[in-house]
Amino acid sequence: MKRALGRGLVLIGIVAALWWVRATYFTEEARIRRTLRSLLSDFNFPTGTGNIAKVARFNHVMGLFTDDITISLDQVVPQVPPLKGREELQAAVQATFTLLSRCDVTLHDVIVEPVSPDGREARAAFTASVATSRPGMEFAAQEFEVRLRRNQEGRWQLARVTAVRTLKR
Amino acid sequence: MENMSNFETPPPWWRVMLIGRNPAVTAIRLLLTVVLVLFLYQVSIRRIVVQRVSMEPTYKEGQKLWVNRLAYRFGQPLRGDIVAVKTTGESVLLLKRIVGLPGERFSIIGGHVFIDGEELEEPYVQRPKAKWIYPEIKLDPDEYLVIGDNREMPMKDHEFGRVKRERILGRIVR
Repeated sequence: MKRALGRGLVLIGIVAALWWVRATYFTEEARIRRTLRSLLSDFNFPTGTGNIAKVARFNHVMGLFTDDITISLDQVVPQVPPLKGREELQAAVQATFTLLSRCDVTLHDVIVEPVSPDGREARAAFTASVATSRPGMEFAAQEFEVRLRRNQEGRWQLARVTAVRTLKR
Repeated sequence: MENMSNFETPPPWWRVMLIGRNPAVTAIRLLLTVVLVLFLYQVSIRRIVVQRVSMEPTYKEGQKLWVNRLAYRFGQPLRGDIVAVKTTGESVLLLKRIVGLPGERFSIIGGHVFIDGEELEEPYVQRPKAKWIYPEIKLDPDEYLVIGDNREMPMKDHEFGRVKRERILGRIVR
């Protein structure tokens, strides 16, 4: 009886571990979370990060966005036109990496949910805190909504990023 | 002599004081108490640290406060309550005061708040009011208008606005 109970407990442990591994690494939600974490790690650089390292980060960041990426900040910063397409994004990211000697981004409470029934589109929402080496280019809490698309190779890319007001005006 | 050996010697008094007569039972009790306390802490209160200056002078940056998460379980938020508003989750909260209730009309003229066309008395705003202007809006049936006490700062730098009831986590305990 004791041996059976022990075996049962071991079996439950193995099933729970497998479920955890699957949920953490092999679901689409886990892949989307990894994409966001990857983006986060590229934008997090301490003081003293060299230019070569920044170029490597820059190249990696660009691969995380679709060609028709749109970034809208106008809800939060009025009169700022949306950033459209890869070229505009490239210029903006380049400027950010050049201007800043330090950037510290944190994502809180990331929510991921599928949008399209075929599983090729998803939505994510999170709150970001940003601290940088330049006063004025930082904020304590800003909500973002992100639309993601899965490309032909199965990788998730950001297609639309919108800064959202927590308190609606 | 044989009969004497059948009696167990009682544990020393200091051990009884520390871990009880039965250590296994004490360990289970302790574990249950810890779980219960953690559970109650999780569902009833939340510790927060104030960042930024939008609630000054009522609450200053760095001040530690408690949020009563059960405050609105059986009642509705009231005007004047200081509440914690959720963002996408509960890791980052906005600390604001409720000034507008569901269904009311809200506007700001020259820094003065008007509710349904009447100026709202705001004794908690102790600093001079900047000349904010905000056109009249009508709040939805499940919406509240929240704002900070620091009206001295420019309106563009002050986060305020409408929030759904479901986003209000709880009331600040004073």
